[in-house]
Amino acid sequence: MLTGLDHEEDDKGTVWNKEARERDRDRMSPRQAWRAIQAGMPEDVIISSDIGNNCAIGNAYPTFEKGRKYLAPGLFGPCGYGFPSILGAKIGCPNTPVIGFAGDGAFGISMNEMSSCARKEWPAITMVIFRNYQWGAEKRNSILWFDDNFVGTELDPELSFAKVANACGSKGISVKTMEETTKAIKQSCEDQKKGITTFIEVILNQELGEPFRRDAMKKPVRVAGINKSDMTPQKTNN
Amino acid sequence: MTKMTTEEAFIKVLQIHGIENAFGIIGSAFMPISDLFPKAGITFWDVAHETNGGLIADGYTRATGKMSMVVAQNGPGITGLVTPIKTAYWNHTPLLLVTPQAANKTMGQGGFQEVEQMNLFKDMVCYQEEVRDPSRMAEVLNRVIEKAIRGSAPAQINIPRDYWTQVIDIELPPIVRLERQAGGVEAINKAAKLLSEAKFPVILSGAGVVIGGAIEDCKKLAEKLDAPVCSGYQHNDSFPGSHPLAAGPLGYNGSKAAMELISKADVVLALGTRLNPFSTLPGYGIDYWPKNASIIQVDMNSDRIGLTKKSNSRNLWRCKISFTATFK
Repeated sequence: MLTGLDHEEDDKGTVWNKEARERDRDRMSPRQAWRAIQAGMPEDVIISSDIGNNCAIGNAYPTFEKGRKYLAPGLFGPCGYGFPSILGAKIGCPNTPVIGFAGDGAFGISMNEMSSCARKEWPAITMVIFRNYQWGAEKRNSILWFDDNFVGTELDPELSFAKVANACGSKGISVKTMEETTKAIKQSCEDQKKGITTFIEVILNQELGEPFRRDAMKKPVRVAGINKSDMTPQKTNN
Repeated sequence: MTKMTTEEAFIKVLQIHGIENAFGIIGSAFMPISDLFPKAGITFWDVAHETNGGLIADGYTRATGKMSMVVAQNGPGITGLVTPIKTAYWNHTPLLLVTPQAANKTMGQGGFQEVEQMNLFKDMVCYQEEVRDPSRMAEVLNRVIEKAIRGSAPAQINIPRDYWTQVIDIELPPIVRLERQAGGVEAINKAAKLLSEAKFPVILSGAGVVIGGAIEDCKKLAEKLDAPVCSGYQHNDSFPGSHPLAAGPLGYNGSKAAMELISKADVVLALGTRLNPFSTLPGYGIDYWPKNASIIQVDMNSDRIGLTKKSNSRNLWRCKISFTATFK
């Protein structure tokens, strides 16, 4: 079923996904990226994922023949799980290829570990960072229930995780096509055997998947109204 | 009785339980034990942030089935562990949380790096205990480790930091490892009857099948019943993906095939899953949970049986049981 799916649907009356496809025609959709990644994954791989739009779209994709191979954040749902948990998996299974996944929002929460994991005592991993420059899951909520009012959803487009990786002594690369993605995944798993950690930035279009909490959301109504002129300055002793 | 220091007692208990890895940021509050790590065969993985350290420990255990410990400096080091410890709690990860506390001598005066660490983790662990006397260091640590294993969740030992570097005269405590219990005769018979008479039984395999090492048992049972197997949300590795009866994961962005299959079930055998409500929310516009089906729930925690779904046969089993024996 999933092999035929390439794109995310818009709810009736919304156009974000359609416009996202048109805006960045040369970029992969999240599902295309997942298929390219799967094509490059070694058979015995352990993978971890994160909370967020691009990781969650991939929920149904990976299958495994053995247990203890898929580390997802679980039901506490912390952003920033994918990177540290895959480090732990590799510490426990140093001879198994491992690939961690996180979106660019969630990765920002745990990326300080880039400063510790490149030391020679630490085992090598592959970390995929899905780059769509937004807190995607929350943006989808803003689209569906808050009239595209994007408060706090935009990430820094100038930031290069690949450059940060290089500065930390790891390998950092950026990929834009399915072919490049598959190749980078394969190469990075080979490189793990040589002790090389690779951070792969996968550049995506801005399509957004299903909201996490259709069950918990509803469109707000305005009753008393809110005015900027009601803001009262604080008194200080300065 | 043997004379030893409190830190030696602590390390000896870690060794008895085979805890070889510790994750955290170095701090004076536990330096008496970190000082002994290299001699003891314990690797200290010094991380950049405690929150990551806790999540690294979770990943380590989930990938290996082995337990590790997480440790940090009292106060701000320890508060950084709240998020990963609760994460490990809901991932059912046994984990030893070591929280050195501001010294008893000054606790309550609002000195340096002081916070109530027992209150902090009250809702984050399956068990917590503070060492009340230096002579009880080994006894308490042993119990906390046992509780983490029994509860398959993090457990906390809180240690006033002025209890280190004291000489005690103790016996090291024995390990008391409980055997995982199978279901009672009545429960198993009832479940067997329901499954034998089912027109379209469907298995839901969860994290407990992975943690309990029961994937092979689950496979045999599925084949015996010719029942499709849906995996719990985010537990895609709880059943072999290439097996003809594998249907894929339920839940958010899960497998549509799994959802359609389970919606038709007249009996659901839920193995090693607490049936978290988020994990069975409608997907692709399908409200797939079979509300009229008989549910046989197998979970290590009796508090979860029937909590979220109507359950016809309330079985408390550990997952690792020989299902096939029941159906011969």
